[in-house]
Amino acid sequence: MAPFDLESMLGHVGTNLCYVGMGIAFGFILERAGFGNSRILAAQFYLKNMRVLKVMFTAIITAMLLIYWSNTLGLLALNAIWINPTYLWSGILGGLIFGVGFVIGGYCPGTALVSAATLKLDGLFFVLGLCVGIFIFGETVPGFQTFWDQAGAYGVLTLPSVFRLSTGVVVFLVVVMALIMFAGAEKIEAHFAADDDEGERL
Amino acid sequence: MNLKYWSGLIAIVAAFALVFVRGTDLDARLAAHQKELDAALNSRAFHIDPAELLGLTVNSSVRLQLLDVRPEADFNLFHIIDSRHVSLNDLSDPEWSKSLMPDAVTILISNDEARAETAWRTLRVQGVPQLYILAGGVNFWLDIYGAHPREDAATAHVEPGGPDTFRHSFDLALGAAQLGADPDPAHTPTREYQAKVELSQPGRKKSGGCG
Repeated sequence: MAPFDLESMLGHVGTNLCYVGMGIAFGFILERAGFGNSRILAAQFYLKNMRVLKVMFTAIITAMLLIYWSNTLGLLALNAIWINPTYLWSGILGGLIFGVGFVIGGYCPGTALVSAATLKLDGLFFVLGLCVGIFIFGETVPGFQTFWDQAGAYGVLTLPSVFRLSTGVVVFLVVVMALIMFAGAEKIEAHFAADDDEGERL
Repeated sequence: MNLKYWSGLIAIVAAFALVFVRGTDLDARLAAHQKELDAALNSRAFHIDPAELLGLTVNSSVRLQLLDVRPEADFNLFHIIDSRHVSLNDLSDPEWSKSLMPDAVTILISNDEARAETAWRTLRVQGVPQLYILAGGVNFWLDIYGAHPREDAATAHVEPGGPDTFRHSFDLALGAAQLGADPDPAHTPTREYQAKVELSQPGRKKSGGCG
């Protein structure tokens, strides 16, 4: 039953090779989805190209359905999968910093690496900035350790436990929400594309 | 119909079915994994020596949960300090197993080993991590750390396959107040054992990622 103990199955080297393979596959899929291009990524924030939303939510509902169906069929032990605890306030602040960096730079950390892997200059500079940011964070975190480690610490929260609904109902509602968002995203794209065309004609 | 509409339809049907489909029941999971469970138990890779458990109880860096699966009357007579009585029926309830601390080392305790092994199988197929059995159970524990330890307490080995009944007798049901429930490692026989518990507690924060 998954998750598998890769260390005992493949050994240390085999496990690390497996991780490298997964990383390459993940990066390849991001590149194929167009996420190595900062213009496509930044267009999400101007509502002109909703590809990021569509790809991310497709990944979320695909993974969610596979995980919960695997668990239902006894192929995967759900409670052996690590769930990140919630740190609400440090999460919100981190999300804001992340979002501002995303809008300004046109990349998030993963897509910056994908872009750098294809030798795009803006991607390479973003990765350089990322390393500087990691260094500054690492050097300054003792100064705000309490906030980072305790602000809004709610432990492990999941949608079924917060809304007191069964897992199946939550999965269904998330899928419905995603499909409505996909439909809405197409309409928004069409609207802004029409605005752009009109602007160009003027 | 367009591929994206088909994909959406499949997703909505799969999600809707999940609302009504019940998970594979425990018996089916136990049957499906019987061979691997038997092999794991026969290897005794998950049976820990009483001395290893004693070391864990005084290791403040380890989150430990001791589950005593013996009959309640035996638990009332004697139990290892900080252990919690649990019935085998409780363990079969997936909702109950969610109440276990996911980052703790869990030790199952019975009089010998049979009930603890049953509990181990039940929790193992539910995916509870870091799950171990006290080798020889409470009987062997008391043979070593009880009020009247056996003479070869430092070198005695467990003989698996006991009837899982309580061999020791007590006049009063004092539970964890009995001698041997909370032994001081400094005043107990030093045993050599093979450490089996792998301490792999997840850190508090792990990175996520948006891609």
